[in-house]
Amino acid sequence: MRTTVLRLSGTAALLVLISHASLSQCINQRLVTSASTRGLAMGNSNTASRDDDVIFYGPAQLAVARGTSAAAERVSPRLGNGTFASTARIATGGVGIGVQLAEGSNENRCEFRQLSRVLAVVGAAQTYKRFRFGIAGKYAAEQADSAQTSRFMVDAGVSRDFSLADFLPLTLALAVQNIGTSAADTVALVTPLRVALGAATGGPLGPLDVGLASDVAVERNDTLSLVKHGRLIAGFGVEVGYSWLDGYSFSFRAGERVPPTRTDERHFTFGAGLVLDRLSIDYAGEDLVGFRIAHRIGVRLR
Amino acid sequence: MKNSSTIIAAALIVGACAQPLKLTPDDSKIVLAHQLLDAPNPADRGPYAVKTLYYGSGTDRQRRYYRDSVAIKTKSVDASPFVSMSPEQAEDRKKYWGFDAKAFPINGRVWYPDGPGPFPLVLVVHGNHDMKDFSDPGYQYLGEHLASRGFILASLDENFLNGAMRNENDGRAWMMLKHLEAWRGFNDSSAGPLHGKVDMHNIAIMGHSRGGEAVGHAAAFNRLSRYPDDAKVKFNFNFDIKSVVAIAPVDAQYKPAGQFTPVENVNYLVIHGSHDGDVSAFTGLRQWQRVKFTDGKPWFKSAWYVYRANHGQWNTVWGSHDGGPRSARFLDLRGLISPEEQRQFGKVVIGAFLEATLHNKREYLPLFRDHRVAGGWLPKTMYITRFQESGYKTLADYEEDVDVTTGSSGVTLLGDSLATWKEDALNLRWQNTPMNDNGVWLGWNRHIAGDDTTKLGKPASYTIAFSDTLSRSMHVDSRSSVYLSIAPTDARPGPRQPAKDSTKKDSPKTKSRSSGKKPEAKDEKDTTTIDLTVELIDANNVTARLPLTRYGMPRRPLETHVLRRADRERSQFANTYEIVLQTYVMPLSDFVAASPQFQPDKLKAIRLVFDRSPVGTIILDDVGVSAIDPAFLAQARP
Repeated sequence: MRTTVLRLSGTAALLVLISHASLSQCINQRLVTSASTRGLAMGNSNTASRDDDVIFYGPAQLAVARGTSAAAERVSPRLGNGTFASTARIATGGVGIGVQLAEGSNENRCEFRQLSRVLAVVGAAQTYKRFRFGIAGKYAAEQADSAQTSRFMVDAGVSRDFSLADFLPLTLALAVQNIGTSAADTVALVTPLRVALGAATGGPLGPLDVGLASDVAVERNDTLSLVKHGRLIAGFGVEVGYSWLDGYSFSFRAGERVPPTRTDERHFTFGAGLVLDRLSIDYAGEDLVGFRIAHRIGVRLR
Repeated sequence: MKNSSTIIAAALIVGACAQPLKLTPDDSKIVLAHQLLDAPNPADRGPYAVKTLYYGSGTDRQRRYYRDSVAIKTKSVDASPFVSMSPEQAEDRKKYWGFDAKAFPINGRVWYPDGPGPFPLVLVVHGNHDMKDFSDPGYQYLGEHLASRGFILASLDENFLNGAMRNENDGRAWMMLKHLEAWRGFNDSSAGPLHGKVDMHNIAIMGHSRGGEAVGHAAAFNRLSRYPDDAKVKFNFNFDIKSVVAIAPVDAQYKPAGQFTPVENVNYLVIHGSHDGDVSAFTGLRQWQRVKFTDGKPWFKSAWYVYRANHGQWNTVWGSHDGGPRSARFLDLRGLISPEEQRQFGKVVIGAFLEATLHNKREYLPLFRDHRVAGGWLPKTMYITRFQESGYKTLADYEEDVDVTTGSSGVTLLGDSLATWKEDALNLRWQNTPMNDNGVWLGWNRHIAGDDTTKLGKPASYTIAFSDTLSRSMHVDSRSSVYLSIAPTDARPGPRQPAKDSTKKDSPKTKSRSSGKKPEAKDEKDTTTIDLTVELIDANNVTARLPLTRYGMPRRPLETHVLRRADRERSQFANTYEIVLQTYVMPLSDFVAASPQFQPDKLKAIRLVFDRSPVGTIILDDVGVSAIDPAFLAQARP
């Protein structure tokens, strides 16, 4: 009951934040890619994550992901986005849902004045012989002034845990996203076919806990060229945490990324997190064109 | 103001849910004030120079010493009937170890006395731990110590059974017996360094954690002709296992033929730390209860609950962090006794047990009847001990029936003026796991309800009476002893109701007072010391009385907090203490000395009279008598 109330209030808070983060710069014509506060702080590398918001990055890790989270990002005074995600484990698999919203208004480079986007994802994953296989259905919709665009897409993924040098755990996750969209479709609602490979590892380093994550992705464009109207997208991040009591910890994160084109995203990201038993509070900042910083705050219940 | 709020908030976050250190005040200065046992300290180094060697496959991929340094090469064994794992697990393990369950190696490290022998053989096997953090070297301190005192100790390598495995405890036990087969060969082989040095008629097996459970299975398998779970697998061991030692064991992870493992006709010692962060309940007491003596030979069993000891400090590799290197985040390690003290305890108690049972040094036997006789040897902490020997005959163990007025056949139980009198199951504190043992709860309060707080009623009592036939069949005499096992609890029954005066009519005032419910009998927590009188009654109604405290300290439950987070402690443990009963062995000759007219051969009843503490509750179990070996009674009464 308490969990349900918390989830509902988190969602309500998210919607309020989003509704206030309107009017201003329309940064790009892409659907917002950063959907995880922790992941964003680590160079938006989240494909191999075990958090609930991994559903936006690939479905395979839903088999091991845990939690329910809500997050809001203030990109500028007039543009914001937010996410809600929740997962549940079922035997050796898992299911999850995610919703991402973006609201904004006109910006100098855009043809429209008001922009509203929504992405809803439902996914499931199952472990089979050490491999985790996942699939997710997505619905994306956009309203730019009076023009409406929407489409259904599918994500698929596979992931597996390995052991580096017999003691360091390594997770590799491969995701193919936005299956069902064509290059021509992306003129209005930018959801290019995308293939991403994520890696995550971590372990103790003295009294600290260190985590590393990286993503490498390519997106399809008209020419399938990496240099024309599309490019290699990559990110890398590090997290250093300290726990003074079982279930309580804080951590600092930093990331470097090669962002996609047609965005105002720049290279550097950073953040911090505090875990208080079942509650996590995360913050991330991302560097934007024009020496601006976008701020993202998320809460998670496990 | 803002700063102080910040500091308070930070302190709340940093200290969130962590609990302060809570320990029962130590009474060891009183309880262990005397050293009465007149024998060499079993923790002192013995006269022998110590030699070491390795035996094993000679092909080990991970351990140089089992590859390059083996003095005796052994053949691998097929343990696949006893070990099951998923294909992925099997693949991983084979990749790491270079072998699978079809070819487990017989590897061991040995400490042995430099002398002609033959010397008793002691095998020790570790329990579950990180398989790559090899556990077998962790008993070196014990190996060197026991070898210097004339024992051969072999620490067995079963690391390949460690890690995330389940249902492998029978495999651990079977491997132990295969080691004994190898040892028979070492002793017989005229070319080997151990030829003729091993006394194969004096064997002890010792195990820690899962290994502590495995020694019980090994003792049982040793006498079976077939594997209970698959009769196609034949056994032919029949080794002279005289003694079994279980260090902080688990219990019933493997159940042969779906039953709890029965162990018969061995000397049995189990030790367990109150602050065990891995096996956080005294589960070894269940196996201790199941050890039976049926062949008329002089066996005994002993259980030790060691306050502030943990799981791992009896193994130098495992150490103080029972949950792994980072477990200080969740385990409260502040209350632990030092590793040196814990190992000193191991040397004293395990050393004395092996001296008594394998070297037949009977001077160490009193230690197991009453640990207070070795106050100079034992590290200064608190101990609760259970004891029973093969002469023991049960009068009441509270498992016979559901009638609280009857005990064993021919035994009548009677309570008088008791506030609490009930029989119930004893549970372990970890998630209320059944201890598979029953006891009787006896509570009393001599105070009479009312304004006069000094008014006391007659003492409550509890009588165990037996028929003449039973009395005669027990052959009790002045050499016999009475056994009681008792644990005071912290429950404090409310005051007794005044006796009704039937000659007076209730006035309206008293009526209104008494018209409601009885005054509430609040079960408040009690921390005062408890004592009672043990009264023996003979057929001539002559009574002999002695205080219980003469035979040991009836302590309140020992406060135990293993985890740092109070909320997690509450969710995992039913109580903040483990109920461990202390065994009191009371020689009838003491009662004769106290009351010369008392005739022990005409004993007809044992009565507990609750006259020495006005309020209290105890749990009582295992009431009996025994024609105990007098060696156990030497140096009594500190």
